[in-house]
Amino acid sequence: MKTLIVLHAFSGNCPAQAAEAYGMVVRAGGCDDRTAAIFHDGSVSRERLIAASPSGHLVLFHTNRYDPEVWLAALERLDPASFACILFPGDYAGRELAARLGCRLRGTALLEVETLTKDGDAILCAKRAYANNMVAQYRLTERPFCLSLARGRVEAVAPSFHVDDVRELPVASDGGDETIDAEAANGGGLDGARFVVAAGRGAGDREGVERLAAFSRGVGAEFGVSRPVAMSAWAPLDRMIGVSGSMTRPRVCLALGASGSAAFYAGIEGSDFIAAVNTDEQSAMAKNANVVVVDDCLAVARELGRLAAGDGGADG
Amino acid sequence: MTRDLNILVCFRVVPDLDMMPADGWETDGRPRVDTSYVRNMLNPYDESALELALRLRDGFARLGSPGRVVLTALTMGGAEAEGFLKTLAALRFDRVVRIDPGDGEVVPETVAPAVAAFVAGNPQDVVLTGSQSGLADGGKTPYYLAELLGWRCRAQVCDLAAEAGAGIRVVRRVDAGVATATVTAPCVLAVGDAPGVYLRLPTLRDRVTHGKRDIEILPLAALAREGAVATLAAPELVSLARVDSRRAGIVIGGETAADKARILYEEYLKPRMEELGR
Repeated sequence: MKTLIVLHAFSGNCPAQAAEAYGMVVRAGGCDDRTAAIFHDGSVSRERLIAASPSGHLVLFHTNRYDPEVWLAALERLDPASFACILFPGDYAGRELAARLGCRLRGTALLEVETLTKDGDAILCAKRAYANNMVAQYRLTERPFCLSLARGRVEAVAPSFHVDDVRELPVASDGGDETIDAEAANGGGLDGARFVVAAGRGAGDREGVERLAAFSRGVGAEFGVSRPVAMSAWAPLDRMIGVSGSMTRPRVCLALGASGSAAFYAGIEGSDFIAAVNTDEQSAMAKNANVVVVDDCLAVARELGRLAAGDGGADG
Repeated sequence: MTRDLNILVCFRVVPDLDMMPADGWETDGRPRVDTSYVRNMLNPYDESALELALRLRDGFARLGSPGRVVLTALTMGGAEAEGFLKTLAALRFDRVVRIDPGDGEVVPETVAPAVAAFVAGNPQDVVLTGSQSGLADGGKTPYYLAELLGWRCRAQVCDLAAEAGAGIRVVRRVDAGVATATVTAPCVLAVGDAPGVYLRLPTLRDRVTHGKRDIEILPLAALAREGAVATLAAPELVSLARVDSRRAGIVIGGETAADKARILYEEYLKPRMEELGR
């Protein structure tokens, strides 16, 4: 199955994108006729881009920013209709490009794909549906199949190729019309955190959330919140955990006052260990945690902070 | 703004899946979950899009723009949307429209071509949508629309503001931070997480005065006859399985919050925190 893997080096995670895409095609099998295309702005060295390539055939598109119209025009130079399958990363750029290219080429687009299996001339893809409560399997028949990967849900395999065919193509683009406040960049350390404290609406109000954030700092954890907390503006949006926020995979997650909706749980389900504090023993969070304390999250956090401070692990 | 600015806001009515009981996810082997017994709600992203459209209209009015902002609310679905359409009429959306799919599926591959056909017959300057719905959309509809209309698309929108000269200031959350730009029509704007942006409630007076207007119902088949409705290939849903995320769920006993916190800390958290060097 002739496959094009599209990556970019604009968010600093090109090797991770490449490893997820490579992991998907390795498990699917039969995708050996493969080309990789990487969009980059020159800030990552050519050697590092080549090292990340999930194919021996690599195209480098040099451009200064993400502009979907420009990037789609660049991809059209690669005769995308000649590919059976085109994979994109799981960020918003990847989702947009997969949907638009699929529509433009009258192929089939599917976003946030977790697994890919060949099925004759068709493919079968699994992805989450019904707000992450279900896994749906789809059959795609119209080529090219334009797929964006599910963030954090595809098992990565680091590629290691001798790349003997590198083409470098400039892409015409302007300086853009947007100003970007990088202070508010997504994630803020949540994505790679090993210890996460996640607060839900059980915190009660903004003050309660701030108290849990202070507790989190005290025990050396990254602090995150559920979507309802962020939407109530009790915490900054860049602290949001879940499908539309950070997808964390910590060693330890302490969920405080979170009901455990499927969309939130998706953002912590990769945790090795989850402890939940919730007043409702029947909540989804209680069922999906390793251990549960049925009580008020603020009272429990206050005591945990005191205990940790006594062990020298918190500042009070 | 010297001429009218036509804004189409697309929305969906979806089941509130947080209300589903744990045993409500059985599928009986068919690729379908029965959600008919839970309450319906506006798709949250679409709700933000509807409110941002109203704020945009308010903003242009405050600027004293001579042109009007003409708001159309459009949904594709069954009669379950009509209560919501009445509310939007009461909030003085100029037109409230439901495309009736008949027996057809309501998926991005049918919604986007239907909306594009509506726009062809009812010219718009801006199409506002939510970024995705909760079932299995994944967020394709605004991108399909941009392609079918040949317009630019801005996704991840979290705020909109009116600017003098018919410009719209668009604030978006992107991976690199918060991006701000002034956009001009035509464009598709897909609203993502927008903190604190919930649909306002109409007053009783507005409900009485405006909420009783007729809802325009367009059968999809009629729309297809009037103009070309593009055909897009849709993935075929072949199976659904419950995500099993249950863990041990050991409940820590104790008389007081302090007792339980002590057990949680000593037996479960402290050893793990020490491993992490905390």
